[in-house]
Amino acid sequence: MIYAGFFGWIGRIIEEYAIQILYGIGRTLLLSLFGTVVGFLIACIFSYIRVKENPKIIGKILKGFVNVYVTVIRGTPMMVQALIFYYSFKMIGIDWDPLTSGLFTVSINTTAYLTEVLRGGIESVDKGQYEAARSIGLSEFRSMIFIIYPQAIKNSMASIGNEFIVNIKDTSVLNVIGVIELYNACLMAGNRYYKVVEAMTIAAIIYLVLTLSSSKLLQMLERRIGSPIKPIQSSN
Amino acid sequence: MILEVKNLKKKFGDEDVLKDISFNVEEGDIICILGSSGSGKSTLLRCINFLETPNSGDIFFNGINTKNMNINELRTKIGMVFQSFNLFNNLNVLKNCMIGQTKVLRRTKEEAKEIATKELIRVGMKEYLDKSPKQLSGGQMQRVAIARALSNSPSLILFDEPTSALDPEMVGEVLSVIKEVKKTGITMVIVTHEMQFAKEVSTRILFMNDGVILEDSRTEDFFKNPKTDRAKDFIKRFMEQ
Ligand SMILES: Nc1ncnc2c1ncn2[C@@H]1O[C@H](COP(=O)(O)OP(=O)(O)O)[C@@H](O)[C@H]1O
Ligand SMILES: [Mg+2]
Repeated sequence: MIYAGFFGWIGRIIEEYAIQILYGIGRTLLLSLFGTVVGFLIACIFSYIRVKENPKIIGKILKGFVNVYVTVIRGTPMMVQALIFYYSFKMIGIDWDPLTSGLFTVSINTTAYLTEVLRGGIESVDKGQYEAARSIGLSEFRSMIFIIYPQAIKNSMASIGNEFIVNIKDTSVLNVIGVIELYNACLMAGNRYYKVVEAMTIAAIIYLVLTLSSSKLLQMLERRIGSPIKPIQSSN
Repeated sequence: MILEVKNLKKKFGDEDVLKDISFNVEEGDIICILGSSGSGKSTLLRCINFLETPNSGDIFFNGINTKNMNINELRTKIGMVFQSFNLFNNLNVLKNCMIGQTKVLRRTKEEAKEIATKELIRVGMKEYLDKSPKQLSGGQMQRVAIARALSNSPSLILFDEPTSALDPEMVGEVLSVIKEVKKTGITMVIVTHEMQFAKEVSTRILFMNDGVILEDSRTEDFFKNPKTDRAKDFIKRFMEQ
């Protein structure tokens, strides 16, 4: 078969590296989904620590930790974080593979962003909701679990979904520790023939399909859950 | 005596909002707290169920100093109805009235549902059990809020201007629900600007001004023979309306 021209090379790369590229897509989706889910779960705890008023001594220490954590992680590139985690764990004798390390990094990273998202979500819930919850005898913790978080999460759905979409794109930096996700798989295929532009065009199109379809899916999910709750202004 | 407030003081920053407040509430009393805006009425109510922490003073509930009580348990016995309703937006009408019962009072789901339904019927909201708060009018929301407070079977309910956030045409329905609740014999403390309502429904009036209770009188006496000039002015303004 004769391959020629830009589209010809694209066809050839896809044909020969279909399996690798599919694995790359799988890893990219795994990293983004895992990172968003784990990040969300930890962020639920961290945001609680972050918004807790008048914490006791342990709460204060935890709050300090979360504040530093959020600032440091959001203030540094994920690529740098990935390298630090990957090699520092190896230095202390934990021999992990790039994918595991990548899953760890993206979870740590997403946690920081979603902690802030949820904090905003919690603050967007009218204060009267919390007071009413306390007034019927719910403890602080239960008020948060049963009344505040359901509303805060619902109000944050768009941002949480957005974080997932950002992760689809940003996990490409995990190639620095050798994770063969979508970008890396395409790059390797392209390098084989010195056809980087063709390979990256393939990557770009697949990323676009992934982000657009995720965005559509999330929109449908959001509609199912219902529009964000508009808080009623309390006036006490 | 169901409630005894002794020498209650509350500051916000440097501002003395409650200056040495003392009063008693007998079982079955319907007390209306009157007074101009900013006189400390809301703060007083909120100190009673510790949504605000007083700076000093004691509050006795059924003779027991509330300092020695579990705050969440105390709150199940003292219901609160807010000016802005504060229905739980993530729960439907029925569940708004059940969550306190199941999560705090540990009633079974069936029992909680039965009691919630009974209270929602009392406030005329039987048709709306599975509606979300967003689907209700202000008056309906406040009626549900009253049912929510009643569902915990409290022995005292505090109302903080329950009709002030309502459109005028909805004030009546909420006031008549409160009159309906009165028939149960439950003790109520109501902050209100609805003077006619206060006159009809209350057994006693507390007239507050600038962080102190200026008058604590039987309702009849308050309206016939107010002791202070402030109260006289206040009533006069109402009569002229
Ligand atoms: N959370 C608060 N922080 C600071 N000042 C407050 C707060 N709540 C009330 N105040 C002040 O306390 C005073 C009494 O308020 P409030 O109890 O709401 O009066 P009322 O209900 O009689 O209108 C007002 O001067 C008000 O500005
Ligand atoms: Mg007030």
